[in-house]
Amino acid sequence: MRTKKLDSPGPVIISMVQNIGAPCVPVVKPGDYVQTGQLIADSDSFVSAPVYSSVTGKVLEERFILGINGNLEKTLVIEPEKNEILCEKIAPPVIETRAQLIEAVRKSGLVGLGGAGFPTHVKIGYDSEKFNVDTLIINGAECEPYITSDYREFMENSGDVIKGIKLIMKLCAIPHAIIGIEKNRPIAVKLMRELLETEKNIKVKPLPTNYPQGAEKVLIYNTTRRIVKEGQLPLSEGCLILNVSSVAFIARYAETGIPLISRRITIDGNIVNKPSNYLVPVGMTLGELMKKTDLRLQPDRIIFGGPMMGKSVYDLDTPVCKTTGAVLFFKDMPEYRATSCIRCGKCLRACSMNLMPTEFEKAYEMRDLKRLRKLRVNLCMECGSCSYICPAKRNLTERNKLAKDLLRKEL
Amino acid sequence: MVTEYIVPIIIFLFIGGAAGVALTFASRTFEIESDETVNQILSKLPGINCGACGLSSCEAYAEAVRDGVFAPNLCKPGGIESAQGIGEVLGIEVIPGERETAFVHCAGVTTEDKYIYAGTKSCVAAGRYYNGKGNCKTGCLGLGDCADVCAYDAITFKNGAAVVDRQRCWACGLCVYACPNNLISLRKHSERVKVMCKSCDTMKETRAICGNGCIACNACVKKCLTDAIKIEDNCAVIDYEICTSCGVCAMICPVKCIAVDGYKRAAANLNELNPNASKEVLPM
Repeated sequence: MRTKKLDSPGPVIISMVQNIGAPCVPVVKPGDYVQTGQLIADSDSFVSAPVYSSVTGKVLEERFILGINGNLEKTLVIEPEKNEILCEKIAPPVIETRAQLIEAVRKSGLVGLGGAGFPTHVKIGYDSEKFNVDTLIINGAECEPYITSDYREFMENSGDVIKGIKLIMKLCAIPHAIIGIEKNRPIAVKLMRELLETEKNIKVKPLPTNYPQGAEKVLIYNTTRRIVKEGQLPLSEGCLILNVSSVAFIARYAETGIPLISRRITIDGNIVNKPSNYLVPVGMTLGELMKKTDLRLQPDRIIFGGPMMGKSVYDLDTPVCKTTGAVLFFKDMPEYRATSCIRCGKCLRACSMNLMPTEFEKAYEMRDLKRLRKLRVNLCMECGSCSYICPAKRNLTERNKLAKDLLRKEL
Repeated sequence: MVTEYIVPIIIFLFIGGAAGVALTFASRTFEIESDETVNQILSKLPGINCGACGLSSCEAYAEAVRDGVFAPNLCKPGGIESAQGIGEVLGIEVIPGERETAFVHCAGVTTEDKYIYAGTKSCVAAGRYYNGKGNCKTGCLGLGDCADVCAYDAITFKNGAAVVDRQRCWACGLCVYACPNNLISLRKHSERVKVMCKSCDTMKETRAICGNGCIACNACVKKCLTDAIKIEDNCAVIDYEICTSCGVCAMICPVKCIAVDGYKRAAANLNELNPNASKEVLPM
């Protein structure tokens, strides 16, 4: 089903903290009139991406909302008007060299659309003398259940995806590219193979449908058989990983110059009548999104992101940000009570990093930092596989997170 | 008869005798000299290895006291008895430290929770999600990390906040480290007036989320007879060097977030606690 465009009738709340790194500082004041695509916040820091207004209207106020990590995040509340005016400053950027590409990507406000929110210009702005990058890996392995937004990117904007890949390969001088798509998306694999028949150095690699296939280290291993060591970047193994939606956005930005003001979101869950993808302006609140969604019942659990790694939200004023890939509505999910560990070892087999979650749990309970370090708890990427598979329903991933926090605090 | 009963008995007696000789020999040759002083000091200590003195076990502390590395009055669970006992063993006069109790600086958040928490029953885990389910970011999370580490079962929960039983608590300090919001501190028994809030929000913000929170109204600062209270970071702080534990602040506090000896409603209890003080103070 094609992606539908949604507009926010109510005020949008645009967060200043939409990426890993430094938060942005607003450049407009309450009372100002902003146009769609106008710069509203920027930062001097390199690891940061500017924020653009997704609507045309008046800035109502600066509001603080509570982020999931407990910090207050500054937001701008903008009341949208009916007729949208595109900001006149928007013009296609000149991209001929690598420096221009990095500068343009920074200006576009792009952060990794897969969910982590790492600014893309930092990723492609790697030191080419230090790292010899020979493979560009396109992450199209949407491994989390429910989410289909990257799949729709392949189906609807396949031309942009290919243009984006070629642009980055040409300007960053990367000889090879691999597109990783999970095997349960055969139509996307077929389409991309047909379009790339003449291209020798861009390969399409169907990947097994396993969670967490889209995780960086797992994807690198399954596409190139290279292993990224603890504490190292994929760049040190010669790999640059970009999400398929990010790549397609770069191609679109190079043509039109419209910055990142909207993104594709999957709306799904066990009480949604017609699960589908929507193009949602950044900053649209959960309340507005719920009004537009066809829900059978009142949800009692709403998750931003996938069911495995997403975050539960409680506030209807929580805005969609650049990194939100899905909004899931649930009701009457089964509740489990944790029982004692039966030492079956299923979590060890389920762990994609070959770690020992049950041993982490014991070491954490004893606050044994030496053992936690020896067991390499920092390699855990909190994918949630161990908690999911545990027949005793123990909260293993939660303990891993706490153990990582403990190690960080003691350092 | 002889082969069935007598011979086995003789064999076992022989084995027993030989083993006895071998063990006696081994215990003499491989004997580890244990210091009599350390054993005596150890007998005066409670032996729960709480770590409040700064060492990992009671034995390590006893050795450190014998060597003079650690002061002999550091055992908090042992209190006066331990200090005096160690003094007798070492033949010196030990000034015992005053008995302390852990105190939780929160009386429970009065507004409804933001969300229903269904995760791991641990304050550290719950605090990772929007500062816990309560509305207050400094308040007690109420999931019992402190009660889990308490060796004396001294911590119970009332109105969603931890309450320490003064009789059971021996101030080992394990709960102080366990609390992710740093709400627990060790207070001497003579320090009877305590502020039951650590909120650093402004008056308006605190009023919106909690009926028990300090609103930094300055009433206690103005009425204090000895100027022992200050407002630091929107929360009342008591200087125990000056405080005389008269309890005026607890009486006039509009949100009743100042407690006298663990009683929250100080005004009602002031008469029985300190009859002389109340007569002087009440006309104000």
